[in-house]
Amino acid sequence: MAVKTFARLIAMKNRVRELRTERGWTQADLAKRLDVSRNSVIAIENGKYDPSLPLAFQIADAFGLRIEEIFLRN
Amino acid sequence: MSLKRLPSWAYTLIAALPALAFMLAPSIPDLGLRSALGGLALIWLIAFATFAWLRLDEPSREAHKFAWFWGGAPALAVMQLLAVAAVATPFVGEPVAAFVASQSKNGATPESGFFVGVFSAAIVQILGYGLVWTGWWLSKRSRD
Repeated sequence: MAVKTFARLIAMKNRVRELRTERGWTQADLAKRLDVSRNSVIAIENGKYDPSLPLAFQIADAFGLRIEEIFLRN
Repeated sequence: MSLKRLPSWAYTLIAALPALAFMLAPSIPDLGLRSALGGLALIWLIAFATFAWLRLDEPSREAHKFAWFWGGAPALAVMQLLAVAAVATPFVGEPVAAFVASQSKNGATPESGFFVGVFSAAIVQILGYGLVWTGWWLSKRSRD
């Protein structure tokens, strides 16, 4: 129970898929811009991998937005 | 594409090439040459494994760390339990001794026991690691 509550508190969601499709980029395009694998983009978009701050900044730079406009508390 | 910008998997393959040197080693009679070759192979392996690691992106590194911790380490623990069981009980010890003997033309010697033990542990560790690594990536692909 406590574990579930904690997991809910720290869970994040993100707008990476939404922002990518708005710009007409494929997952491979975004992967190339971030210098990561396409599998990594899929994991981030699915909310299954929360990136570290350096990678989150890279993602924010790629979209020209601030981190808090992309990563949101669930 | 320059050598510095090869993908991580390419560096991994290059790093694994010394395995060939190890396979050739028994056919080299001179112990000094064999040792030198082994040393060079080790330096090569470490250098290219480092390149492979540096070229990995962040989630891929996490996948490797997770897989070694939850797959590789438990697999090694299983092999340690097997080793203890092989020493403690003939039920386990006899088939293990027979397997060790079958792997060397000189039968079960301390040397063959050592090599079979080390390589068996490594193979089982890699299997455990591979299973968990695959599971980690599959779990990240699902959308729920």
